[in-house]
Amino acid sequence: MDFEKNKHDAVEVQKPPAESREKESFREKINRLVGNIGAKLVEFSQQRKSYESSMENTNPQASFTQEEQEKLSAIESSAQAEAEKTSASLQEFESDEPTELARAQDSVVEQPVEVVTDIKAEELLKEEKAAEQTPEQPKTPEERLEGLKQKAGVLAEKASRNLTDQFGSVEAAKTVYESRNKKGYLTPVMHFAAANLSALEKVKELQELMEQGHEDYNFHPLNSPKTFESELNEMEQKIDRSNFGEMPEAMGAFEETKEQQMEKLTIRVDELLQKYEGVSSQKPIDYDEVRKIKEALEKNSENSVRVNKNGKVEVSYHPLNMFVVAEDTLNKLDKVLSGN
Amino acid sequence: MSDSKSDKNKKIDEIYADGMAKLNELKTAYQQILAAAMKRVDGERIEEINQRLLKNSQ
Repeated sequence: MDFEKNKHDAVEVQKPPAESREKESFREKINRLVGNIGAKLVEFSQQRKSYESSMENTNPQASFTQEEQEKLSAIESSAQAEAEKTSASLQEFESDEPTELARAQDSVVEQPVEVVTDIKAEELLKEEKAAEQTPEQPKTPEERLEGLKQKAGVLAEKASRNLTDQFGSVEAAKTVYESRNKKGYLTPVMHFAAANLSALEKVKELQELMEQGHEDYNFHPLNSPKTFESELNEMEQKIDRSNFGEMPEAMGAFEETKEQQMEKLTIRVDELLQKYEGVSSQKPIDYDEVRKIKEALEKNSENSVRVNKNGKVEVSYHPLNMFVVAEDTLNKLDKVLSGN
Repeated sequence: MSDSKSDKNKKIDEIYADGMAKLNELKTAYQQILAAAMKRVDGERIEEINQRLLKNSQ
């Protein structure tokens, strides 16, 4: 994935414009490159500090394990050695250029080391600090609700961090996902985006309801027995299952399997059911169709789900046993239900 | 003279590109360890909250 690669290249070769490059002495060039190497090395300690803070805010007792410490230290040492070796090799060229060196000694201004500040991590840290509360033993319903709010906070932050780590921001993840979704194919990383985006949205909705003082989730119009806790548990599983980092072998796959499409369709159906549950009384037929598609997917029999010659999942949810492309039909139902 | 300068520039670029590529590789490995540690802590925290909620509901 290009963005995966680029994400790690925060400090790239800082090439000055062609004109100034012509005039740049070896010393200037070497100083610039050694500065870049130094900045790259600084990124290691910044990242470690950022993660340490995040960990401590998630759980004040948390720290790196012995094994993690050893691995991190080993990489830090290797990076330090590599940076020193490269800088030394570069600086060997300085002595070969006495005339330029003399000129450079008067004119060269030390290149400032580009410090890449992890603003997002700092913001996250502040939010975590604000949200962090000393865990108490909840006994009353209010305290239980407080525990659920804490859990929702952890989950929202986890889903946001998953998306931010992968796409740069939650908004960027949403944009990329929507664009890919329209084109009709989704890579595993898009499934990851879909799962985390929908979980984040749901958790935020639950947080809002909890803040509004709803005691639990049983006011659902379909009289669903769901509770805040069961919903949060479901979102927790969704976020955990989405772990893109655990399926690197699938990163290059562009053809979706039936199972992948089914998972995506299930997410989509759930989103629509959730989105339009309040308007179901005005538009019962279309809403009911979405529910029937969900039932067909859950049934997953040869009479309810099949894959067509284009590799798309088709579902049959009406008496004549006609199959329709599930994704297209859901898109149409979404438009009808939204009144567009 | 010009060729010598050009060769030297090329050599400098090569050394730099090689060093930076190695640092980037190390940084990727570093990030993976940090992310795994964070995931572990997240999991422990959620488990702790789950246990508390379970205890409370009993």
